[in-house]
Amino acid sequence: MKKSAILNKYVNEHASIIMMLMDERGFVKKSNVFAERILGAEIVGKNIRNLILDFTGELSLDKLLESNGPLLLNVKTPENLPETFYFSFYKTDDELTLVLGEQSEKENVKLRQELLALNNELNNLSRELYKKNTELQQMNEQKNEFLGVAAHDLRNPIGLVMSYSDYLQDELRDRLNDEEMDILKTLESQSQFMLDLLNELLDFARIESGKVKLDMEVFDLLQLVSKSIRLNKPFGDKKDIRIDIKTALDSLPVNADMGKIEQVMNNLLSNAVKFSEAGTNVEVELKEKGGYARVSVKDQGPGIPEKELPLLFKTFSKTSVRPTADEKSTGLGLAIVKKIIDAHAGSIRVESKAGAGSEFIFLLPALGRK
Amino acid sequence: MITDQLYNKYFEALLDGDRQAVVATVNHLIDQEVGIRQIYKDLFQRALYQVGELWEHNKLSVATEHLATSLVERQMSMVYPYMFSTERKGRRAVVTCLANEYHQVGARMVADIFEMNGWDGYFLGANTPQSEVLSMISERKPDIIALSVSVSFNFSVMKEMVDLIRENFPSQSIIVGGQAFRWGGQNLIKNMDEVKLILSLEELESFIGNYN
Ligand code: B12
Ligand SMILES: Nc1ncnc2c1ncn2[C@@H]1O[C@H](COP(=O)(O)OP(=O)(O)O)[C@@H](O)[C@H]1O
Ligand SMILES: [Mg+2]
Repeated sequence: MKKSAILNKYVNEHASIIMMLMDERGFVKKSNVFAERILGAEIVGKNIRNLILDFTGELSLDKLLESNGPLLLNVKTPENLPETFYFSFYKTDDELTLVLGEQSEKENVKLRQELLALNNELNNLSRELYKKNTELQQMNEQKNEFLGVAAHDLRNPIGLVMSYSDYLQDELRDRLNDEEMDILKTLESQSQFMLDLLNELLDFARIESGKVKLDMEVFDLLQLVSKSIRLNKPFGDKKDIRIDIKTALDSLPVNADMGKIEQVMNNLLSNAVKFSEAGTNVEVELKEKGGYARVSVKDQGPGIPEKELPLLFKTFSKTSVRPTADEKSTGLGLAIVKKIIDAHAGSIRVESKAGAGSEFIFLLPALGRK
Repeated sequence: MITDQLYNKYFEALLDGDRQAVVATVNHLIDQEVGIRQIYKDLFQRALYQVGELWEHNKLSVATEHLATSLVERQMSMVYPYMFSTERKGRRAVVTCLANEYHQVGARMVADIFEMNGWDGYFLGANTPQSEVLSMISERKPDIIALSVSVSFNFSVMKEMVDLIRENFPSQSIIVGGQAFRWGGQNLIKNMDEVKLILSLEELESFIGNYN
């Protein structure tokens, strides 16, 4: 093969330069492989003005031909994405114009460098992020440990205050006037509240730090629910709220941590009573459904505004719904409930509308009835 | 404050690919407590619009435009530390560019605006296939899906996407926006049920503020 033929073949098939021959009216007569890759397979016969992106309509054939030196022009790839080439136009002896288009290596190098820098930066950023995340986890563990220790060590002294004020109320009943007795009562009820709060904090810290092992055993959920209802009855009675149970089952065996599930029931029931007006009803329903034990606690209380629903199961968060008879509220109960249910591979959700009562529903994997 | 002088210096550095200089400008503005919204609009958006103009007049190459866009995107994450401190609202928005839509900077700003208002803003990015948008909706159950359209020839894709969402999630709230509407297309939206057209970040913020 001749040297010029080899060169021709190479440029035609491999070079990253757009090469086209066009006639005096701008129609493409011939092109190399690269030009077809950039501009689409069927460019022969097309007009150069349709291949080049002309946003402003300022480009004319004459302008292109008159330009000396490479001209920055944009073309459109078959994917409809723009690419920039620097075009030169050379008249040949057979009245055709040779069109050459190349990219700027300098610009491409800059772009590559920027990509590399970006990539490195991204790697460093995600490394930082992981590091921070681990630190946060450790700090959270420390916080829980601290919380646990503090709550634990405060429990005894406060328990003492509580039982002493109870004792004094008994002992001094005849010697104190009403106002003084009230002070003692307040002392007792406030320390009771603190004790409840400390117990919840302790629970929370334990559960949060993953230290709580579930004590799994097989028991009858129906019996446990009935017991919870009995225990909460006195609080209901005070507000003239009746708690009913509704179920077609005569037992519902589950494998779960009995003490913890009792805690769940107690919080749901005490909430239902706490946030409802006197004279309403609470209905507890038990079912078995799709391999799950399903318990629902439904009240006729004020319901929860839709906007506030996402807050419910978060730590220390209370909604705009407040207790109706001045009961205490910490905002920890449902956060603990959710953690307990999650630990059992169950789920809990709420259905509620402002003004239309609330229904809390939780599912636990059932054992299957025997 | 973003003066013309500061802007011009920034723009020059941007075209030059001088990342140190552009990063320094943004850091300086953050130090001065210039708001994120202002940096987005009066620095980033203004610069990219100017890039568009130069490009349109064949005064700058696609490579340089890529360089500028990539630098701007990098700088957008520089303001993240100041973005997530708002109280979370427990609401979600999925923000996406349509299939065949490669302009993603505006949509990213939209996702960030949601974040700044306490929402979770999931950003799906450029050229997102329709099936992926649909599966994101069923997965994330967003309160709002936001579609961004930059080039007019994607209006038909937008219509298709809206129809698909309607078919699969009849009650899904949809908003659309993007600079394609600078050149018309607003009538298209009027004929679509329950689709809201929002043209600017300010308008978007007041929309988010009134959303409940
Ligand atoms: C960068 C760029 C590209 C890059 C994009 C890279 C990337 N990572 O994003 C690339 C090279 C891929 C590109 C390609 C093309 N581009 Co281009 N591109 C641009 C450029 C220079 C900047 C875009 C940008 O980021 N702007 C900055 C952002 C912040 O502004 P914004 O998008 O308007 O977003 C704001 C608002 O609109 C709003 N918003 C945006 N989305 C949404 C959504 C909602 C819900 C809401 C509420 C608000 C909202 O909020 C943002 C903040 O204020 C513009 C110039 C310009 N004027 O913007 C041209 C421009 C958009 N491109 C244009 C064109 C024509 C194209 C191409 C068709 C060219 C071609 N034929 O090949 C292709 C199309 C590819 C495709 N299918 O999408 C035209 C569009 C004209 C039109 N009438 O449609 C422009 C305007 C350039 C011009 N002056 O001609 N482009
Ligand atoms: N049955 C209910 N009806 C209405 N609001 C409720 C109900 N249960 C819980 N809430 C709301 O959720 C908040 C969190 O409940 P919880 O975590 O148990 O904390 P606490 O009972 O200490 O207030 C309550 O303060 C109340 O605003
Ligand atoms: Mg409670």
